[in-house]
Amino acid sequence: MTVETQPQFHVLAVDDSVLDRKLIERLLKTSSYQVTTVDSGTKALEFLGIQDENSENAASVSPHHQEVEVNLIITDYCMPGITGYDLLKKVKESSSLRDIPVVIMSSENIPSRISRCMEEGADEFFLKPVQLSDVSRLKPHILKKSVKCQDENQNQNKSVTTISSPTNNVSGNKRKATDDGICSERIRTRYSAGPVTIV
Amino acid sequence: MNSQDLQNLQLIQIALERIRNVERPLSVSSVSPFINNSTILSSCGVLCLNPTQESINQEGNTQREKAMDVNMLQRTYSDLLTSLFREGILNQQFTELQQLQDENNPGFVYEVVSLFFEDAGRLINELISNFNQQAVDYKKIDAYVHQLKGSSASIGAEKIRSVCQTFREYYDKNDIQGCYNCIQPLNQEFVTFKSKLEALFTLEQQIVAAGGSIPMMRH
Repeated sequence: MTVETQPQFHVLAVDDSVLDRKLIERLLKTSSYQVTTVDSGTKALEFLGIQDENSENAASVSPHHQEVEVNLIITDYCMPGITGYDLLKKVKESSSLRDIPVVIMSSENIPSRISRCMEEGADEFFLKPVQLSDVSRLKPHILKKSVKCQDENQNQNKSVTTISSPTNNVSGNKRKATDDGICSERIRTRYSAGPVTIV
Repeated sequence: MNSQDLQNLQLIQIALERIRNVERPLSVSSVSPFINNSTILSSCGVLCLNPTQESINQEGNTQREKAMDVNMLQRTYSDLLTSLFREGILNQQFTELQQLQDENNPGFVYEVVSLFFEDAGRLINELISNFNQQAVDYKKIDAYVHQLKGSSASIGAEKIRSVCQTFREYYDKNDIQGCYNCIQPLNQEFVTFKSKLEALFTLEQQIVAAGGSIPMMRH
C-alpha cells in the first residue's frame, strides 16, 4: 500500500548552458520538484504548446504536451534565439499559460533588466549562480497560483517583486549597464546532450 | 633443509610477496597537498616496515595499515581542499555543489566539474585562436569570456571567474591591451584549476577504494 505523499510540482527549466542545466536540475530535484530541462526558449514554447512564429517547425502541437502540467517556468535571460525575456512575454500573452509563474535567472546584475522582467510579469529574478536558498523561494509562487486557479472569481494581486542575491562572495559584479536588456552576441556550440530531458 | 629452514623460507617468501605488492614506497612527508602527479598519489599510503615482523603479525597489521592508508588519504584530501579555498581557487559555490551531492547522486560534483573542464577548455582554445587572427573579433571574444565567466561562477572556480571579470572590465573601457593581458593568466588559472581538481577527485576515488568516507568540510 502506498501512502499518498504531497503532490510533486513540475518545473520547466530553460538554459542554453549544459552546465547550468545540470545545476538547476539538481537544485530543483533536491527540493522535490519534478524537472524538465530544455536548452532554448523555442523548445520551451514547443513543450508548453505554444507555436513560436519564428520557429521553422510547422508541425502541429502534440496533444501529449497539453497533459503535462507545468507549475513553474525558470529560465535564463541571455540565450541565443529567443531570450528569457521573450519567453516570459509569450507565456504572459498566452491565455492558457499566463498563470504559470515565471522566474528569470541572469548572471548580470542590471537594474533596468530586472525591472523590465518584473514589469512583464516575472515572479522572481535570481542572480546566478542559483542556490538552494533561491529555490526555496519558489514554492509560494506555485501555491499562490494553484489557489488562484481554485478561486477563479477572486481578483488576487499577483505581483511579487522580490529580487534575491547570491549569498556567496561575488563582489563588484555590476557591469556598466550599457544595454537595455540586450544580451551580448552569444556564440555557443550546442553539445549533444538531448535538448529535452524529462526526468 | 630442515623444517625450521623451510618455515623461515616460507616466511621470507610471504615477506617478499608483501614488498612486491607495494607499488612505490613513500614517506609520509613527501605527500603534500600540492601534488599534481597522479602516479605518486595513487601509491600514497602503504609503508613497508619490518617485513619479518610484519609477516608474523600479518592479519592485524594489514588492517592497521589500511586504517593508516585511509587516514592519510583523508588528511591529504582535507589539506588540499582547504588550501584551494584559502588560495581563492575555489569559493563558496563549490561548497554548494558538494551539498547537492548525496548517496543518490554520488558523482554530481565530478560530473559538473568535468562538464566545466570540457566547456572551459573549448572556450579558452577559441579565445587564444581568435586573438591570433589578423583581424580580432573582440565582440566574439567578449561573448566567449561571458560564457566562461558564467560557467566558472556556477561551479565556484573563483580565480577563473575573477580574471574573466577583469577582462570584461577592460573590454568595457575599450582597453585592448588590458584584454590581451588577461588571456595568458586565464589559461594558467584553468590549467592550475584542472590539475588541482583532478588530484582532488583522484584522492576521493582512493579514499572510497580504501573503504573510507570523504571528509565533509565546512568553509
